[in-house]
Amino acid sequence: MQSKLLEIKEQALKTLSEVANTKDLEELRIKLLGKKGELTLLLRSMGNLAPEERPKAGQMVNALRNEIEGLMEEKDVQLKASEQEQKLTGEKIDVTMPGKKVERGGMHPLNIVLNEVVDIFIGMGFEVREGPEVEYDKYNFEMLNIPKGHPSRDTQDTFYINDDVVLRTQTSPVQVRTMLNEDLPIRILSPGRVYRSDEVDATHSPVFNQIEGLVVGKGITLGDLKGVLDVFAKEMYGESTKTRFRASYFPFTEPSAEMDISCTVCGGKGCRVCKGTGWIELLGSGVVNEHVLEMCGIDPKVYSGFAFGMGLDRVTNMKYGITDIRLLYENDINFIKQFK
Amino acid sequence: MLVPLKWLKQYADIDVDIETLRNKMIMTGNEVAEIKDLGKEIENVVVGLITKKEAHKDADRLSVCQVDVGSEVIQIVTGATNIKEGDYIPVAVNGAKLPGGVEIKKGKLRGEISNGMMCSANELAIDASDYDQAAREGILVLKQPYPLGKDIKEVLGLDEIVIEFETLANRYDLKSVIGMAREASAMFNVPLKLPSFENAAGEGDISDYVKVTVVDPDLCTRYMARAVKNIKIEPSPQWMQVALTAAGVRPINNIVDITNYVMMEMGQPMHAFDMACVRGNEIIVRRAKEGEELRTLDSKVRTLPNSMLTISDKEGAIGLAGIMGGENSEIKDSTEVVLFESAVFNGTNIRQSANALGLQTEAAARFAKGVDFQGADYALERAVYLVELLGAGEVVGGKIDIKEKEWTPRKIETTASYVNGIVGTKIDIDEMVVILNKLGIDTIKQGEDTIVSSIPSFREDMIGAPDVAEEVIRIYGYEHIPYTLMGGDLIRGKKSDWQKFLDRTKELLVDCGLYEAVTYSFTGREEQAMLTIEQGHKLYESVEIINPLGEQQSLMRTTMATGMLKSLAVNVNRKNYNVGLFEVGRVYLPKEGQALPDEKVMLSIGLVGKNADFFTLKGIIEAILEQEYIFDSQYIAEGETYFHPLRKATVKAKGKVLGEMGEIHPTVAAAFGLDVRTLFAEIDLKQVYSIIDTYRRYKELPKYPAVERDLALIVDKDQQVGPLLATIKKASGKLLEHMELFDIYEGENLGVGKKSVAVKLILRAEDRTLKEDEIAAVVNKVLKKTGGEFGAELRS
Repeated sequence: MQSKLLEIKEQALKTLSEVANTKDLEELRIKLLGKKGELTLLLRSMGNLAPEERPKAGQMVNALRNEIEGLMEEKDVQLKASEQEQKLTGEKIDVTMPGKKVERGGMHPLNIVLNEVVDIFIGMGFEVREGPEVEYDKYNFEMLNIPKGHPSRDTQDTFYINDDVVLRTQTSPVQVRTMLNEDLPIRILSPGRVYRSDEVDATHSPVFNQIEGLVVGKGITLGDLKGVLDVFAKEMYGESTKTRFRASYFPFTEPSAEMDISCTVCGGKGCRVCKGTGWIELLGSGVVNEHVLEMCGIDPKVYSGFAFGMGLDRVTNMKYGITDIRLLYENDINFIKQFK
Repeated sequence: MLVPLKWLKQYADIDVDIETLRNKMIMTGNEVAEIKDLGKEIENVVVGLITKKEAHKDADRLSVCQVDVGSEVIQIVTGATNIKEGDYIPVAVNGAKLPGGVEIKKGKLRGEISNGMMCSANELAIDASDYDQAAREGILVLKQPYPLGKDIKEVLGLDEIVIEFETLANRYDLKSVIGMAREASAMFNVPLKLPSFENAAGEGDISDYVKVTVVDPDLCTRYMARAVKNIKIEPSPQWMQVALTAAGVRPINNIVDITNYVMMEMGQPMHAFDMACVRGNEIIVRRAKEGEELRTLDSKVRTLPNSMLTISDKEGAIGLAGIMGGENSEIKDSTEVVLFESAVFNGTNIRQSANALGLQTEAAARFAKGVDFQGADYALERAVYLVELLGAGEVVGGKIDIKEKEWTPRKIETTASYVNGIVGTKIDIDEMVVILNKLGIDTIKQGEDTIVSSIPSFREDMIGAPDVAEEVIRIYGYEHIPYTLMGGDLIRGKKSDWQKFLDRTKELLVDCGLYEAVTYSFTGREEQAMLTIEQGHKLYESVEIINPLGEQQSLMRTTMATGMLKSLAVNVNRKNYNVGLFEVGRVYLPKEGQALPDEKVMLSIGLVGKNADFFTLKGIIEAILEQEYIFDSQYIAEGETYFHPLRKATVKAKGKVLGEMGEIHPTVAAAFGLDVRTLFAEIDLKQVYSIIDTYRRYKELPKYPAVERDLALIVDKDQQVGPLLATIKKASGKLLEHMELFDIYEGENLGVGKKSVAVKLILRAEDRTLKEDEIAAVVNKVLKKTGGEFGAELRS
């Protein structure tokens, strides 16, 4: 019995020292410790021993088993480590190879800029309103103090659907609809598509986009207009941007003001872009004309307001240095890609 | 409006540098387009007299002249042929400078000393359109004698700065030098000096010369005239010619120049008729007879519609009121009696007539904006005063003045607190009153806070209190208004749920690799036909533009397809072969009985190239819908005629039709220049928005294991998979957690006309581990149902 154990032990240690991989190790484990393994069989054969010898023999077998198991475990850890190392060595990659392309698309520059503008005004308490593009003449012109025969109708080159319906030439009818239908105070932004019958060239398009704003409430002043638009200009074009307000004329505002910003290219020193003046004209604005308020059912003795409007296409082109408005409506992806 | 600075200073003697003037003018609403210093580059060019002219002895084409330039007589050799002894000419003496950086030095020409140069108009860079042809093309022989040695800049009016203003549309008063001077006087606080003139009494009576009738007073609210006899036509004096030339008006003769001078000075267009040509000595202001002809001063025959106003005599039209005179009554050298007209015509009518005729004149531009009702009288008196000053004729007594009613000034009453309230300032009431009076608006203070203004006839653009506020703040300075932010009400700014939905949908599409497009909303019948949209098609009825730019822009689109297909074609033509675009835009669908069309907000998607297959597009649409918690969209094999007949689907969910998708019919694609597979979808976003589900709630994660069962079912090859999957899903009941189609196989071993559809079912119960018999029951039910409905058999 004892010699048998010794023999098994020696054989086991020898084999164990020669085992080179986990697979062989597992085979050895089965050979010795498995259900039909040598040690297992030896343990079972103890039934042939005299009863008094059995405990001792059992102890000896179990001791050997534990010893072998311990050694095998040790071996297993060693082998696994070296096998993993081998595997990793074989998995070398060239990290300088290009990444797998996950192509994300991109928004159109007009809408990227629109979102920026909208976010700035939302931060100042504005909400966005939309309205029809095929619009009543009444809302597009008459209620904005531009009756039939008014000279500014000539310059706006309107597309007509019939005598009473036009393609809106500005988003101001949204202001009219808002004043007619909503409760005061009002603080809205109305972006959208507008139409004027201009032939297409580098600076004209019969379809373009405007962003207008309207504030109506108690005690609204021209100073508030200056404040709000100054915040907008600084957010949009940088903290160092300066604004300048000049007297102007629009039928639906009185007093009216044109807003210039310090040139975004030269910062106000004077360059080709600002034609040497240091200023760039950005938008028209003013205190809402009393007559317009009255037509919309708002009492100008109690409420006042201001309005402003700018061309999104122009703002976008200024921001990105785009020189031809036609590019905006062509949808060449090599153009759109540049802004994502 | 060109304003010569010296002319302006006659009325407002401002003493500021030109940049200060420019800035102040810009800030008060008077845009400055250009400032021209006319004689900036000219130095040492003087008036000279040719005292002797001899042929050059060694050169046939040259002559040698002795020229008296006042201080000395110098010799000049010239090749010019339009000069003779006794001519007064511009002489660039030794050391003179000319435009373009040219410097004149003495030298020798073929052996003869030449001590300077006689100048042409071209060399002085001036417009000499009032000179005869020889003087324009050769040496500028002056029209009259001047003191010898006098600086030519003074003679030709080149020592002048001319400012080109772009004034505001409503300020008719600023179409005049006096108007601009009034602005300048208020800005720089100098007195306004209006030109003085005595009312010329004159001899005789105008009624002996002419009878005037205004037939259409709606288009002519005031008609004034005075007559001048014994006219002596000659050039106007140099000061007047110089002023007019600088202001961009060509001098013609004393009478015409007077009318133009008064117009530039006071803003009132005037006209002078040769009374010899006014047949029957009668002037009738009336609408044209339909089709009536008139040869205007520019020698063009105009056919007039009834809407246009004429100045006529007994026989016919002799002038187009307020726009241009007729050739038949033009001032000629033989003219003896002149009638000066100063009238107020209806601005809208003049504007429309001028536009219709394409005849834009200085007079028409002024009448279109409106003229000063009272100013018509001052202008007329100023004109006859100038006639006497120039000795151009003898003024006849009496004056025609036909008007519907007397003019009375509008009164505007407001308060200083209103003005400060609307502007956001604290301007003192006394300062307001001072500003308004400086602008010629008679204003007084009443009590502590009230301001009463009497609006002059040259400022009828001022209607109410806001106009008063504007005038105060304009002169006070917009730059002095403090920057403030609205106080008072607490207002939340936000995007609406709809706007947020649009934002996240776009974001998702961008994440799917698509680029956003923006296309025009126009289309035309030709384009519609390319899309197979013909009469009778449900997208045929369109909003039509009465005055389109062209056929292709004559309709408002009823589908987004045209813009998308054109954009894809632009890309393919430029060799961008793999393109995915989307657009969120509107279509305009006319609605019976409604003035305005239904404007639907549509999403269009277009794909060409490597991702252009039906199921990629379908996957994108499903992703959009699943983002809104819409998991049970259905795809029915039908759709518009512009799709491939067997690769199109109508998208539905929760009982709503959301849109259509599919492959564009190759014929249609080819018509748009697309010779590649083109996928297109158009989804009605308001419909999607109407069924979105924003409810999100935590559901406990499963505690018990899931079981997977793969089933391969053999069905007919033509069997649509969608309904089969729907039946499997339904038959699996509530134990089904997830189902996935993982293979479709066709092969001979399955039998002719058959295919195998393989799905993985993942089953789970919330409260227990599923037992084998429960799983078998589900599988059996699926087999039974699919067998019954589709003849499906389990693939062995």
